[in-house]
Amino acid sequence: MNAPSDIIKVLASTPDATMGYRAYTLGSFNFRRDEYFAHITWTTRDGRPLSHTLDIGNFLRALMRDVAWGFFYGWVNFDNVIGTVNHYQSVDLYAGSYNGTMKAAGVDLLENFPTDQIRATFEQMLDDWTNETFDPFSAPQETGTAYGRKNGNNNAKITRARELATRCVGLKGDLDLRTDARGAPVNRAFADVPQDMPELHPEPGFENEVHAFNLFAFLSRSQVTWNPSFTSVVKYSFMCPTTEEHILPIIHGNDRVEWFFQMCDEIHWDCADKNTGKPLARVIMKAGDMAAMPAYCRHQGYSPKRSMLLVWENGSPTLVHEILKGETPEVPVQF
Amino acid sequence: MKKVVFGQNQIYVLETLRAEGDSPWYTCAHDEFALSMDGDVEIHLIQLDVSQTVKDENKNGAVLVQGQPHGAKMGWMKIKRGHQALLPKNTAYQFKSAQPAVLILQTCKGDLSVEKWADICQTA
Repeated sequence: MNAPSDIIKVLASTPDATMGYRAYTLGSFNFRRDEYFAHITWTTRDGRPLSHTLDIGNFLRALMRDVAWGFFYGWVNFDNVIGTVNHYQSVDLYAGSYNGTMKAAGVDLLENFPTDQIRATFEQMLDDWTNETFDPFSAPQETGTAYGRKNGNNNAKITRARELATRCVGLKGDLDLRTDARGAPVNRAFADVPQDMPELHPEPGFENEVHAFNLFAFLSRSQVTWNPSFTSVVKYSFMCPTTEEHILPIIHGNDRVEWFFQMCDEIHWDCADKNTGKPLARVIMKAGDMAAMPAYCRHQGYSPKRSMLLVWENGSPTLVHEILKGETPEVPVQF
Repeated sequence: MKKVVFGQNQIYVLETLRAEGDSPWYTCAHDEFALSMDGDVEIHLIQLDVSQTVKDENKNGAVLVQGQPHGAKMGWMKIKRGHQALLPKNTAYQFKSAQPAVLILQTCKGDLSVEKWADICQTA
């Protein structure tokens, strides 16, 4: 059972007298923000002080995903230096450990934390560092600035519940459809997406089995970007469609194969070795394209306009261990 | 109608199917889902008599119903581009499409799954 995050000890400073933000300590890592940047400092394995700086908007967008996704599948690289690895009961926090140059230079650091501890720290940091003007889940054109001194908070936007169907969207007792009334109007980029519903003609007694819904309409009403939902489930096969705009705020490192099916418009992907960051491939996906991301890669996508991406995941809890033991290959098929 | 695998992750697959005319009747021991990416498709459902359902409840993937399906009519639905339908486990289902349509099936790899990776994949 997870302990409530509010009883986990989070090491936070008093608010900075000028900037108004708290600084945080997690193990040997220190985090602070100013008007433009997040600053992370640590002591390298050979005892030298080192620091890393990220644009605060980019940092908060990445932090938002890491928190909301429960550290996700595998690696959540905030950039090519900082990130987390999910071990599903604990989480690694690292600096430079998956950067070939920093690793070779011995200036990296990786520490492991109980999931509850790092989650509580990240949640409080996200809450304190996100001003009322900024929504880290929104596309850049749909939110205000992340910059500046402490200016309120945006609790409602950083605590959205992840939308996870257990069987299928729209079934009785399952994840609801998105509607105007539920605060999900059609996004400006999808004004041309038909909102009609499938024709359903159930015989009496089969109303919850003869079921279909308009997936494209559902996606057109997404209020966030780069945030997969579960819309249909077959055993551990999860359809995780999402709407994408601008840049995926993290570089996702796979601990399993995942597939992308581009349902409209296009996304450009940079793929690299997940351990070193060495570039592997550039993938341009247009509507109707399908691509596999092997378990040995990391990837970051660029969506020039809002697009619909079907992320397809195998959520089997044994899959990671099967790959680590060599029982399951890192690639989806061999031919 | 060929169920061509275009995504695979262990036992799980995404299949694509050209729907045109009347399909055979299929059934499956687990839920499946059909998403139309192009065209209109009717899906007819029958609550299959136990004698015709898949005997192994752990069997993956769809199979053809042997003979005409017997059981209560559950109803039917018509999906268009972007619509996704539930194909409940242990039902018989049939696709009907007057014009060619493209379906994507979320299912498990089974007896009817066709793999032609060398023909459909672009590799480095």
